[in-house]
Amino acid sequence: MNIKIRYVVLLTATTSLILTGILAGPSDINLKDVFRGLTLSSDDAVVKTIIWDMRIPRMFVSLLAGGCLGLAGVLIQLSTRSPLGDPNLFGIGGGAAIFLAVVAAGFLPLGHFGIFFGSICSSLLIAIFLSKLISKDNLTPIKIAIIGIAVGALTIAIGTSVISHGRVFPSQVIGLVSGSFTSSTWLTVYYLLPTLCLSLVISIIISKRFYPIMLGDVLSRSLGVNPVRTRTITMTIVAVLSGTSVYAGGLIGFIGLMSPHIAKRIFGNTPLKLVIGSVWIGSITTIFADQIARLLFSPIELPVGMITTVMGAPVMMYLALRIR
Amino acid sequence: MNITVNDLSLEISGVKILHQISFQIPDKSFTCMIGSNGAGKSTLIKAITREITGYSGSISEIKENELSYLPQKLIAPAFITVFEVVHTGFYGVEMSKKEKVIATNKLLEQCGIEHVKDGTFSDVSAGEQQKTWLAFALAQSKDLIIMDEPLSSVDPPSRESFYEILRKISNNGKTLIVVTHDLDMAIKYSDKIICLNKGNKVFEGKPSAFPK
Repeated sequence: MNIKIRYVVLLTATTSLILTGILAGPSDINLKDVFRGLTLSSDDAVVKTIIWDMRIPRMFVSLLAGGCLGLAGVLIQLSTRSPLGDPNLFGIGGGAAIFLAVVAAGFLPLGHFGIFFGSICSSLLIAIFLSKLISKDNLTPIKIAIIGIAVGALTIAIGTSVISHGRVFPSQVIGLVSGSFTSSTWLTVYYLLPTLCLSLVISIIISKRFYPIMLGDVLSRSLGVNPVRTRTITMTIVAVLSGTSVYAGGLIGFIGLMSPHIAKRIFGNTPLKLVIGSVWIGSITTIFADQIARLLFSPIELPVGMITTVMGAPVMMYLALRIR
Repeated sequence: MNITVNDLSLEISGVKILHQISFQIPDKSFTCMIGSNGAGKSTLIKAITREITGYSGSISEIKENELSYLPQKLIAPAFITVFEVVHTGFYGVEMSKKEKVIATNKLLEQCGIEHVKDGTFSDVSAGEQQKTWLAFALAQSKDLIIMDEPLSSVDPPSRESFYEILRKISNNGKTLIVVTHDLDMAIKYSDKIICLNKGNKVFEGKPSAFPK
């Protein structure tokens, strides 16, 4: 397909998903009222609240959290040389989930920023642990994936047992473990937007170093790129992004895994194109999954992470079969 | 580039790995280093590339910008093409993007892998992968190329064509050191053979003089 047509298709998809997020929903508002609510010309305070304080922030949060996951996914895949990398499957997001479980269970009384910051720090701890585990030379991509998934399973087990000790609603547990954007607010948007923008800028700046890194540490050094330093920077960004996305929407798996592979087919295989493309694809796939989660059995919501798993698990199986 | 190794000995945790080894590698020559498993070939190479230190004796200094070294175990990068691997060899080389693409294509042709250039690296044959690594090493435009057992899993016809390429590269002015088990190829194509056995040098000289 011609590259221009691809962009048009992607733009159309993004726009229609955004519109779906704003126009459609479980509450019984007709289109005319939605437009009135949008332009603030409606007298109905309920409509305005639904549009401006629920649907629009949720639409932004799903786009931005998806972008974070897509970017974290491509960074983890490029820097660890494992095409099966995913921040949440590899437990980095799980670090934040454990922290959020501790908070939800009432063990840590913290404000919004404290929770946001704590999520990032906890993800960072797991990222450091994981980096140590996979820092041995000559680990094959599959081995790296197995180690990562084991760490991921461990974090979910810890997180779930912590949260089951607190008196919390079952929906909170599901929201954390299987992902949900139900409680999205503008505040979440304000935390997500600068985090994603800053991470993207740094990733673009260092993207040139990723090809040498992909050839392994010895060759990377011979090309003048210090693999350990580059991986440290990258894994730090991955931790910040995953912590942020889990803070925003819980554990949403497979977006990080899928996005780089889809981006590669649409935009091309240079690290720069992959980095930018993965953000976009991550956003689209996540907002798409969220629309299905919201609307498929409306008014009952499905966890968004369940939808992304249904989308992503076959991709992972296909990729695993293709790796030698 | 001439390389002189003088009276090199190395012990690792009390075990003698290399014992008083001396040899010379002349500039622009193609040298094969042979010997059975555990003879000390890879260790010797690692001493030359300064990956291992703590030896006694001397090795002439090789600067980082003069050496391209392909270690024994290279993990196949997933999902990148043969072209991209070779192209990455030009990382940090001062050339325009266009020049790099032209130079990459030239190397692919020189190493006989232009027909698989768009193939995913991990999908092409072991012989083609090895030629890709060779083209990658050449892209770095260093004077000395050291390869540690490049053809451990390659069928005989592919070995032959690989050594033919190595011969041409050496004729074009590169110094090559190749560690190998493959005595037949070493005798047929190299300028010089150095044979190790249990950490001792047992032969150094022209292939024609090698005792069969």
